[in-house]
Amino acid sequence: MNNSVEYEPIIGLEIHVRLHTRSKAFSGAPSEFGGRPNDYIDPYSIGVPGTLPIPNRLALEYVLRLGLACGCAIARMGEFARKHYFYPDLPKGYQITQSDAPLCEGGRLDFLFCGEKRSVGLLRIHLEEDAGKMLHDPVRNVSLLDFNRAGTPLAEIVTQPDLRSAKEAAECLSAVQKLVRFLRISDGNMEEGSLRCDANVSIRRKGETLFCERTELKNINSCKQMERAIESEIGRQIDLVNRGETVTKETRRWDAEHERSFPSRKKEAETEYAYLPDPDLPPFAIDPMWVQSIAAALPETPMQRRERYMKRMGLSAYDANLLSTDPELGAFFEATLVSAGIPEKGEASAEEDRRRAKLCANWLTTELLGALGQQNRPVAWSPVSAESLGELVRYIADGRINGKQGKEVFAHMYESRQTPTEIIERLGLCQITDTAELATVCRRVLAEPTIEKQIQKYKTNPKLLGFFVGHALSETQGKANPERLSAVMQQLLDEKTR
Amino acid sequence: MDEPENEPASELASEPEDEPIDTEPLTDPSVPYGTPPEQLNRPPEPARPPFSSVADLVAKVRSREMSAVEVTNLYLTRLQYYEVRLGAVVRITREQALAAAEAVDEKIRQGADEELFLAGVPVVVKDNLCTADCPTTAASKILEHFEPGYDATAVERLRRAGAIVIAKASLDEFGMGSSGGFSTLGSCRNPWRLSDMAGGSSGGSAAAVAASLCMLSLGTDTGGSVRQPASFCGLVGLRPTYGLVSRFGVIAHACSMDQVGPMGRYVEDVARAMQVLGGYDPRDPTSLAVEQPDYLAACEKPLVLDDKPVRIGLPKEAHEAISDPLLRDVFETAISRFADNGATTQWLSMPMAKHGLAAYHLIAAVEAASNLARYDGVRYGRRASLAEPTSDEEVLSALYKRSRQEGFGPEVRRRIILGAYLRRFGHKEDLFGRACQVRTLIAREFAQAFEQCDVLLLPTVPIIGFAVEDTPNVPLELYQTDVFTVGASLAGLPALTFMAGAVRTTTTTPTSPVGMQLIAPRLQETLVLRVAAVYQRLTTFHKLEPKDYLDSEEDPFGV
Amino acid sequence: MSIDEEPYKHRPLEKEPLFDKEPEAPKPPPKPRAPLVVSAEEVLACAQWARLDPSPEEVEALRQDLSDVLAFARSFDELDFTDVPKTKYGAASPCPLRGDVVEPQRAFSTLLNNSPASQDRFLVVPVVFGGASDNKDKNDGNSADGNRDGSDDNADSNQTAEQAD
Repeated sequence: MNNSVEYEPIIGLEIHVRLHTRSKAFSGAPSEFGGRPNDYIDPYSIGVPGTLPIPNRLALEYVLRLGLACGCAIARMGEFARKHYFYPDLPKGYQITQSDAPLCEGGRLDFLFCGEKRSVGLLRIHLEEDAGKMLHDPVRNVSLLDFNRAGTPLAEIVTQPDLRSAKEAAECLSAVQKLVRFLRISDGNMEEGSLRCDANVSIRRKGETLFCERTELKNINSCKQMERAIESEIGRQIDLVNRGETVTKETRRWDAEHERSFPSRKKEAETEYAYLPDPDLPPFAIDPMWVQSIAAALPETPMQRRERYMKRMGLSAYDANLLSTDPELGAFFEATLVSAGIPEKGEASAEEDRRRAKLCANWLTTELLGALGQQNRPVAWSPVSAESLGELVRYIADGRINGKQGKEVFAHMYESRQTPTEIIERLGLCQITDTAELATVCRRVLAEPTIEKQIQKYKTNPKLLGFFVGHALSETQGKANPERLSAVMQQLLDEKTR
Repeated sequence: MDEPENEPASELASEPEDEPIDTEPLTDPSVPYGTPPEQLNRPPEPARPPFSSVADLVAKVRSREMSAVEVTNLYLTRLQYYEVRLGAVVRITREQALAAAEAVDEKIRQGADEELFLAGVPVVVKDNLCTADCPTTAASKILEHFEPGYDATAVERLRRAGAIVIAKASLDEFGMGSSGGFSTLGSCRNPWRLSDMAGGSSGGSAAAVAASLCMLSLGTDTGGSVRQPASFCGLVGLRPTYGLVSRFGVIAHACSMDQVGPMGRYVEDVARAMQVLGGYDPRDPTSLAVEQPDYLAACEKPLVLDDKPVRIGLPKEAHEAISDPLLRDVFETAISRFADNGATTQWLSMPMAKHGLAAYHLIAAVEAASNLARYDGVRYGRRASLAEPTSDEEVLSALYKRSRQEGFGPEVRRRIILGAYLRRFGHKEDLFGRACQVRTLIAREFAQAFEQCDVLLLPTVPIIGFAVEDTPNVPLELYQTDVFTVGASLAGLPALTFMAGAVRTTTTTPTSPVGMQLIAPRLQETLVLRVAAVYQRLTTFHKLEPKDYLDSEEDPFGV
Repeated sequence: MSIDEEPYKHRPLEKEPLFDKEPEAPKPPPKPRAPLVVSAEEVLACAQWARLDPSPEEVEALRQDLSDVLAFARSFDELDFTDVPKTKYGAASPCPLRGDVVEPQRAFSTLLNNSPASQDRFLVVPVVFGGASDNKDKNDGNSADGNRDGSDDNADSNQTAEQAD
């Protein structure tokens, strides 16, 4: 009996982002990867008595950057707390974190789900230090401690339980990955442990408003695993409830190999951590001017960029998604826009700007990516620079060459890496757009004796315009701009047949 | 040694005879350096080191009248010979001291001695201050053989000024204790009266200076741990404003109250030490970025502030709490001395102060439990051994428990449990929160008092001393000795103890020093130094020397 | 000015005090509260939390000492705590921040010199937590001793000492 339709899953995420600073959160040891065990330590990292923490300003800034990008409220004072527990890789017997006064509160995380925009609320974002690592030595049957990671700065993001499916949760996690990369505060690499995520999962009958007991899923190593783990957990909880049992509040560890979760320790009561305001770290004021400067320097988030592309430039959802989620493509596109003569940011643009922007998008996604894709090359390798592409678009938008000529020019650009100007000049492709010149050509055509009869026919059959335009076009060897030519020709014909 | 035992009672509190400075060679060349004490069959010559003060020693060394190496050897010999009677040090750093002395001499030879404010001064450092060149144990088994590999800032600054660290002083384990008896390495005795304890927790530092085994020492003061033993040993002991001296390298007891404090015989000596110790340290987030005033110059000044006499406030409740008539006597005489020499005195009511003791112990216990969480035998220190590796998580817990139970002494364990209780079951009454509020009330009370006076004068400890046998091991009784010192700790104010007088309970017992305490507003160390210096100009108590340790054959570590 | 020269005299207790004893209005006695009773179970729970292992005698002594100290703190009941904020820090100055600069320090020798057991460049702890093949109650940072957030040890439990080198 499948009762799953009656239940809806409630999912919230707890994400730890390792911040990409040079030194650790509270001391000057290097915050790096890839060294030998215990290479990147200092006395503070191993908890030598007498050492004292001093907060890393850049780590704070990175957390603020993240919070501002999500629209969080920023705390006025910075305060740290000690979270006590005993474990071999926790050097001081406590972790410095933030409890009552996180740096960022509230805010939202926007992301795409099935091409649509979704938004999940954030509870808080705060700064804390990481612990060391324990490895297992199977030969001697002991554990080995490496403190390289101890003390590196982490941003902890806690979301509201707003997510309603495993896939959505995976997308949300993926969005966080992209966001931290975009903000250049972390490389967001889950396999290497730069991004770690736990999921809190519970279910309730559809239509109810209260939350039920939830389980915490740990040890998830990728967005895909996140989806599988949550699906598995939802299924397990539904089964439990259908059998008449209750879901207990527990922590479960996900095993990717066997695609199952196993119960871990029950989540211990909060008081056992005995959070204590850290007496070594007195509160300090967070300068509003500093916060403002961080906000002003924020790069556009992918979602914001997507909005801008769709609203301001009228790009399709597909194009907007593509160009906003890939940082390199996005940067290329922006440079192309500039080169094509579209102002960088600002008010709602004119029709012309939108036209140009669409052209840029088309040329980039269809032509350039198509060409690169055939050779399996990334955008960074493109022989056509953004400036050149923009220039090409400008020619087309100005009407100096038509689309067909544009493709020809593009092919040359791709092969020879020359600029459009150089190629157009070489090939003499410039379209004639000057109305006077066009008028001259038209008059010449209309003056031909064989055309006389057709002019009479035009009076009753205006569709014959195309015939005259075609003639004039071949007179110019295809160089005339068709629209202009057509307009001029029509005007002249109308005059003649009045 | 040179005074017979049945001297008349009038010898008490009399000026010491003017003894001629020894012109004989300071060290006996027939006794080679490094001779173990057992083989030294007679006390070292001269009976007293031939320096009248730190300034005198520094002048002699910088003028090359004596070399730093000579001075160091002189004190090392004294130390080696006498310290067994006192139990004042846990480690004598002979080679390191001699090497440092060589370096100082070299600098002087080359004329690069501008910074050497304390050139050649032998210093003893409490063993909860990290030193790079020798182990630092905090008198605890859990840190035996621990080598931090770096110098505490306070130690670094002393060394940079040319001071020579000759030993690590004994202390109550982790700074927890008020008797000097909670060291796992033995008790520290008071050189004035060997049957008495030196006090705590910086007992060793105080005893060493009092017995002239060094000229200056560094202690740490959390709830009175510098002032109390300094008072018992007749010294000047200063607790600086919280944050004035860096805590980097201090093995933490209670972070929000720990401070490093110098001890010496003369106020000028302590002032010299402060000049070197104070000042911003970027490695300590609670360090104050303030300009250092001229502490030495403050010692010359009279009891006048802004053309007005210094107003000395006398906390009524504190003085009333003294029941011993001998002590009362000393205090009253001291007060009248100040009054007769330019200061005005007035009585103030400070009823909040008595709650400070409970507040201090609750706050200190919580912070200590947190600070001591890192001692688990995993990364350093003593680790209990397991019969064989195991995969049971319960066993990890057992490893921790055994390491900590075996490594910590009873007082430390007691305080950790108290701290744990306040945090785990704190929701019952939030006593810890209340204690933090009491702390605010006490700070406010001091602030109000300082509107009416410039400096407070009160006893340092409520008793003359306590004998070894009588050392209370019931916590509350022992904690009572801190009743006058915790206030300044809670409020982070500078406090200084000086020798106000001396008493003798019967005509045959040795003299015991009596200390009084001066408390000033934040960053007014110059004021307490000034007032104490005036007292030392008016009296000669501080020139008295303990004699008991010279005669005794007692070995506090032995049978 | 010289010290008193007269021979030591045991001063009588009736000496005139230097201060005036102001008559105090009698304060109403505070409502006596029941003393906080600390139970042996609580002491044991605290010992477990703090990783101490007291003997039964010590538990009893601790229970007594703790009760005494807490009873001592009953004096707080006399005080008025309205509008009294808590003092949580010793310093009046704000915490400074440091720039993101690496300060190289040779701590490895400190680690090595002081560690009870080490192997290659690791510190050794003689307790093992379940590897990837072990299905029961694995450790992922959620050990007997605490909750750690963030699933960090998956890579580790699959990684052995040889790989780490």
